[in-house]
Amino acid sequence: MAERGESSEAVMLKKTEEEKLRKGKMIVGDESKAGYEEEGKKVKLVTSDGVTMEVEISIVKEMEIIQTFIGATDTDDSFIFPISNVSSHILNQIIELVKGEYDQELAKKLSHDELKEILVAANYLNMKTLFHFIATAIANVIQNKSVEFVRDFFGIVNDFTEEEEAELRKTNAWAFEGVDED
Amino acid sequence: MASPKRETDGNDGVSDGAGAEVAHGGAATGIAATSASSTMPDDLMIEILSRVPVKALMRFRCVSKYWNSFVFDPNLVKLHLQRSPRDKPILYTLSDYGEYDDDAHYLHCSSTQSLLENPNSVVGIDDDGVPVFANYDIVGVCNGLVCLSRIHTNLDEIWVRFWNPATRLSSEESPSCYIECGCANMAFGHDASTDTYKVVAAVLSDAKTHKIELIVHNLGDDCWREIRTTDADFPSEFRQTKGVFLNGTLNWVTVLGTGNSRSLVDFCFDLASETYTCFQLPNDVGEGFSELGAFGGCLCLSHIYHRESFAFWQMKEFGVYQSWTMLMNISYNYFEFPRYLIPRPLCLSEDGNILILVCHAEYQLVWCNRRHCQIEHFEIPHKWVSLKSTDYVQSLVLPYPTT
Repeated sequence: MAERGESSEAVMLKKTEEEKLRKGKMIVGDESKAGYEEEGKKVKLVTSDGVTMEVEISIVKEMEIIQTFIGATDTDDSFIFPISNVSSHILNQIIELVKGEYDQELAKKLSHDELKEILVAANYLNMKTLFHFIATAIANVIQNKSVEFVRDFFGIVNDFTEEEEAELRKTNAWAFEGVDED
Repeated sequence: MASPKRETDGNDGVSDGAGAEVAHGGAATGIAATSASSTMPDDLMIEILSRVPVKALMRFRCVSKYWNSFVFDPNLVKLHLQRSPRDKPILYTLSDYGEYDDDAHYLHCSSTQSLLENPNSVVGIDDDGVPVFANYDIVGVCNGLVCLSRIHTNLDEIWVRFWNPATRLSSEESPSCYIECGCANMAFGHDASTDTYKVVAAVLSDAKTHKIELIVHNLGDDCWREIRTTDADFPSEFRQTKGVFLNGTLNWVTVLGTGNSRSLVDFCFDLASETYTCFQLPNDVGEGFSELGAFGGCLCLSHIYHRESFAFWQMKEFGVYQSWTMLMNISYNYFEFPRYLIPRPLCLSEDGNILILVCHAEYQLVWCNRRHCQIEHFEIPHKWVSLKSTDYVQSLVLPYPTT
C-alpha cells in the first residue's frame, strides 16, 4: 500500500495481537461456538458525518488501523472508534464490497467519486484487499479512455497550450489508437 | 583512422516509425502544478497508474504538464515494473526473408503457452509488430529495455543505444569504442544494487596477440570503462556473440586455457561487483557448437555434438555445477533439416518436457516433446524468427537518465 512502510516492530505487534485473539477463542473450548460468537460481535465506528455504525467484527478485521487498537485495549462491546476521514455513505459502500467478497459487478455500480473516496478510505483504514481491489477497478475504468475522460475523472485542469498539446499528441499518436468512447 | 560515423553513414540509424521521440522529449515547462490531481494524493495516484498499461500511460502524458513527467516518476516506473503482467515473456524478431531485400525486423511477443499450443502462431500476429531500428542489432533485453548495437562499416568502431519498444522512446547513440575486425561479444543487463543498466563487451583489442579486453558502458554515461582482467583466469576466446543476462550476471560460452587444458566454460560477469567467475559446463560438453540461454528462469545450454545430436541442458541451481541436468538429447536423424544447420531454442514448457527449436535457413519450427518422444516440424515460410528474450515485460523504464 502507499507509503505504508510498516516497521517490523509494528508487524510483530500485530502478530501478537492476532495470537491473543486466537488464544481468546481457544479458552472457550468449542471452536464452532466461538466462531459463532465472534461472528455476531460488532464494533461501533463513528464516521466523519457523526453517524455511529455497528460494523461486524469480520469486516472490521480487515481494517488494520482499527485492528491494532482493538487488540491493544482488550475491547468489549462498548468500544467506539472514530473514523474521522470516512463518511457513513462510503463506510456503507465498503461494507457492501467486503460482504460481496469484492465482486467486480459491485464495483461497476460505483460512481467515479465513490471509487476515489473508497480508495482514500481504504488507504486510511489500511484495508489491503479493498485497496488493491479499488485501485485495480479505477485502473480498469480509465485504461481505455481518452485524455479528456481522465481529466474529468480526477478533476485535472489542462494547463497545456493548444499548440503544446497538439504537438505532444502528434508525437505519441500511436498511443491514441483504439480508445473507447467516453 | 576511424572517421566519424555520422559523416560516413549519412544516416542516424533511425528507421521510420521506430523511434518517434528521442531523448528528452516533452512539452515546455510553465507554471507547474505540484501534484497529479487536487482530489487524490500522488502516492495513491501512483498506486492506480501502476496498474494501467504502458500505452494508456503514454496517452495520459497529455492530461497536464505535471502528468507529462509524472508518468516517468521513478516510484511509478518501479512499481509499474513490479506489477506488470509477465504474460507474454517471449520476445522475438520476425523478418521477411528475401534474398535481395533489406531485412526489416519487427518485434513480437508471445506467451509460452500459445507457442506450445500452436507453434504456427509465431507468425500469426503481424499487426502487433514494432519495427526495430534499421541497421542495428539487438544485444539484449532487460526490464522491457532493449539494447541495440551497431558496428561501423569499417569494422573498427562499435556503439550502442537503448530503446523501450513499449514507450517507443530511445536514447541517443552512446560514444563509440574502438574494436579490431568488427569483433565484439556483447551482453546487456541490470545492476539492481545501483539501479544501473550496463552493457558489457569483450572486444579484440589487438588482433596480432588475440588480446581480449573487457569494457563496460553504463546507460547515461559518456564513456566506456575497461575492466581489469588477469591473463591466468581470463578466456582466450569468446564463442558466444551475445551473452545472457540472469541473476544479475552476464554469461557467455568461452574457451579457457590452451592446449590440452582447453575447456569450454561459462564466463560469468557479475554486474554489481564487476568481477567474473568461470563456471564449468556439463562434463561431456567438448568441442562443437555451444550456446547459453535463459529458459524457465535458469541458465540453459544448447550443444551440438559433431553435427550428430542436439543436447539441451538446464542448470537448475545457478552457479552449482552438480545441478546441470540434461533435458533433451536428440539425434539429427530425427530432424528434417540438413546436418550443417543449427537449431536454436525458442521456448521451453514449464515442466521442461517440450522444447521448440527454430531452424533459420529452412524457416522451420521443431517441436520436441520429451515425455512422448515426439518430434514435429512446422514450416514458417518466408519468415525469419530470432529469439531476443524469455523474460520480456512492457515497462516505463526510460532509455536515458532522468535529469
